[in-house]
Amino acid sequence: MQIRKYSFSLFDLPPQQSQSIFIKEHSFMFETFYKINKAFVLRIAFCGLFCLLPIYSALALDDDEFGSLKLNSIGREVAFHAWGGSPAINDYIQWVASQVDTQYGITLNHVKLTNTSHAVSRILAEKIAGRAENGSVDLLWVNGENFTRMKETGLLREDGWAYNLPSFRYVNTQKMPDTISDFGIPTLGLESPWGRAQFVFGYDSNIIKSPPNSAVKLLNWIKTNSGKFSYPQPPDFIGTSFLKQLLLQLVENREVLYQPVSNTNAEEILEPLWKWLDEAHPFFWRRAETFPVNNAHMTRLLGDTEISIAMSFNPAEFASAIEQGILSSDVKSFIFEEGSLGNVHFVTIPYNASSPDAAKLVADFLLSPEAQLHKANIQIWGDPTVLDIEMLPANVKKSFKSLPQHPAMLTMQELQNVIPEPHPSWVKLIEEEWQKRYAAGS
Amino acid sequence: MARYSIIIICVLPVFAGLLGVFLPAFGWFPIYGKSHFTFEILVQTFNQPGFLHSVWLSVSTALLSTFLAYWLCIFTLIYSQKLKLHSTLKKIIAPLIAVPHITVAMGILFLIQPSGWVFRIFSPWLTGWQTPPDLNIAPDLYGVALIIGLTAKELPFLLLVGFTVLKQVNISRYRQQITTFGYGPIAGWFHIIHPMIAARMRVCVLIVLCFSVSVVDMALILAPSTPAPLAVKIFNWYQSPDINSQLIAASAAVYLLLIVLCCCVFWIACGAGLKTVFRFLSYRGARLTVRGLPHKLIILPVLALIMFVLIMGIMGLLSAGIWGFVEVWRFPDILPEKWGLVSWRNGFAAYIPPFINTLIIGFITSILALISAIIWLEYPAKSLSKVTEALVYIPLLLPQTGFLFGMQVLIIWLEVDGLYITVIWAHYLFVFPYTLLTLGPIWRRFDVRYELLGASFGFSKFKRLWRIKMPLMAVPVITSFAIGFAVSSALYLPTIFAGNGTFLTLTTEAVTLAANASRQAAGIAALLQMILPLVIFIIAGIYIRFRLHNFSYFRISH
Repeated sequence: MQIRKYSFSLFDLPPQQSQSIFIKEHSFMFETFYKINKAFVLRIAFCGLFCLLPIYSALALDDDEFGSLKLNSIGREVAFHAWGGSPAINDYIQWVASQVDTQYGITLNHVKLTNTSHAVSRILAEKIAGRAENGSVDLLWVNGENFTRMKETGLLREDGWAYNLPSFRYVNTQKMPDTISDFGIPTLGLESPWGRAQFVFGYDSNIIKSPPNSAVKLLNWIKTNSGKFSYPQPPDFIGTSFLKQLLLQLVENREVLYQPVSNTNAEEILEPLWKWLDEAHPFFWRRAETFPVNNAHMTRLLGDTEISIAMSFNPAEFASAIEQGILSSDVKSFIFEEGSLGNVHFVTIPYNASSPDAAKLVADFLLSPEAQLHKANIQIWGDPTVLDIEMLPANVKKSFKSLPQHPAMLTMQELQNVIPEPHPSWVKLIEEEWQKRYAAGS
Repeated sequence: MARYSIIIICVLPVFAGLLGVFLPAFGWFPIYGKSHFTFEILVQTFNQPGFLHSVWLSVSTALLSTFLAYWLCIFTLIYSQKLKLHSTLKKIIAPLIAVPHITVAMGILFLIQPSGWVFRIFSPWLTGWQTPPDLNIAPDLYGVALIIGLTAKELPFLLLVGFTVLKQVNISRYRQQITTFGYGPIAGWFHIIHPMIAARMRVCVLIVLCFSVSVVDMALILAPSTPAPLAVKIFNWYQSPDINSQLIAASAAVYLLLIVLCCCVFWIACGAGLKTVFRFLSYRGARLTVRGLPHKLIILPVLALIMFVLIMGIMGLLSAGIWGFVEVWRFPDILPEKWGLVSWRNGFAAYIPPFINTLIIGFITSILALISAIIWLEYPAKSLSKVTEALVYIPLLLPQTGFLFGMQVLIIWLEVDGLYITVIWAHYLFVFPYTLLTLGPIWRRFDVRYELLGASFGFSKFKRLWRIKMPLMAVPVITSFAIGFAVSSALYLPTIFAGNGTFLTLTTEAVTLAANASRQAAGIAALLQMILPLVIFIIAGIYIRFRLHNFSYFRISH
């Protein structure tokens, strides 16, 4: 009982002193507390067990395989190699890291890439050096050509894992076939859908009253507003995408673009595109003698009012650039009225990942309604979901429908008209031809 | 022994890197199903649209910028003593040497592009422009912006080397001779002093030339892109997901190596030609004196050009620094409309781990490089020394992506990837040549009599080095340490490749920041990259000034 008395006397001391004594006597205090409240402590422990029970039941509810994934993954590290050029996306990945830490005990390390090819060549180097396990990349953000290259070179984990993720049940592959076909190449469960990209234009509404929302109107606008338009120089991703968007508009029969180049009369198909560019280029920013280096450069030019129209593959990009102070709040978005180019971006697991099980859990979390909802929020990232909202539980569905809007961003209804990506073989042809025609010098 | 271990440490990865470039260039890449040697890819590369134009751009910008940097440096040396510019210039050039190329490039771009600072200063009150003019400058079609950028970055480096060389030559002794021979000051320089200086600066100038041919980061921002210089095209091919592009990139890298060699040969030949001309003129007794030509007519334009280039560089850095603290700054405002710390959204604390990493890696790497450079210079190998020395410089010349790929295979095969030591090793490969370059010329011309004196006291080799040579060489040693640190802290791809992408340094942070569209983020990136090397330079400067002040007469100084 002596100890107990001592603990009472604590409160009589002046505050500073009491604090230091408190620290010193901390262990005593605990002992006292334990002695007095043995029953209480037991109760807490009991409650803790009850709290754990739902988690355990969740493990038991999933199919056996996924349950064992969870048990295997506690304490594992996952190296997530993902482009790191956007503060908003980086913050989102940090949020994911904190979530998978509390939910699964996984430590997620975001390795910020400037170009996905660096990670691809790292995995390739590991393959050449014969490292079949303990690779340095666990999860990789990828799509399109990089995916095709990794698939062809055998750099991916081939057990169809992506289809077996619990969250995959909310993906409607019938309604949105692009969730299992990356630029027309079947994913075969080698990668799991993460988000949706759609080609949008941003324009300075101070200068442009009604945005030129078709290829023909755009050409006319460029001709009357000399020096105010350009696109990032192909093979920049956005630049090439702009050419594809144009081509999809200009071609007579869109269907041919979904076949490999070799099956078509490519020269004739591309003719209208070159005609359009030949007509427009003399009225371009710097007479098309120079192009913006990349998307970031073009956005800066819009901010500097050197140009009046820019483009992006993220419908929320202009809104977030306004929030960052890069663009003035006069900037608004538009798409071509006939529809705009859209694709899905994925995460994949390399063949030699160190913690593939934990990586699958992260991929599953990225696809979960909770993470997708958070991602779709314009205040967070603004990346549209790959899930079918109609298939989601009612409360999540409601949250999706009541996401905040931004004046610079198009609504989900306005963005509905999506044109899928042409066959990937067109990219190389378009880029090579473009290079030959417009960047070969004299 | 020590020398051989340095060779193994340096040369092994260089060979791996070379294989990583040369094998694919000749069609050997089994994992892509290409496993027979062929010249087809070299031919295919040659036939790429705009290939020759790209080559021409690479060659012309590199030769012109090196020519400008070199001759501006020589003229500065001629006049620096006369006009007492020495100490002022040293202060101006220090930050330009310390900061990475990319920072200078971004600064210059913001300065001279049509919506840039220069135009903002003169608009609209003088030019009448409310919106930026549609002028094709920065980047321009001929690479003028790139030439300005390269000159602004390389001139300070050459000046630093030049000042050291000038001290060794002891020109005041020759000055009297020049006057007795009846030469004017400039003609005398060209007849007598320039040949001595040129011989001592040659390696540095050649490295500058090689670097200018293969520069990527600066060219990406300042060079024209229709078409781009070859090094930029190689960079793009390497980044392309297409398999064939990888092979084309590798074989273009082989072409680039050839071009670098040709440029060096051309430069040396021009130097030899100039020497012959002056020797011929000397024999003829030509004094090259133009009577009545006022001196200022030559001095002023040259001085103006030098100042123009240096001020461009400094203003560029300044503007980059300003952008780090801007919220809104639109054309045509001369100064930001709204200041703020909005872009430091992650807080300063987020940059502490990368800061520490940069410091540790830079420190260890440059100390190691310094020690091995001293060993290398103290025990010169008799045979093969030229060949091994040339190999050491290869990491600076090859495109980093291809070179590092081969090296990465080696590192993974050795199972040492992702370790601190590996990152330091990778950095060492790039720092060591620079240390050797800045220390070598001075070390090799150390007055051997000091050492003989030491030997006569019965001092061992180590004691002679530690007690006599090092104190005398303190200034150059500290300077090359600072340069080594600056080089290490600017390395991006080697850090990523050797460190599995998990090692954060200030530069890796800066590069990802700079990928963002906001200039504010880019400004922070520039500040991050500038700060550490600059601090090291300043500390080194203060140390030299105050601690090494005693016996400064004897010391060999930079």
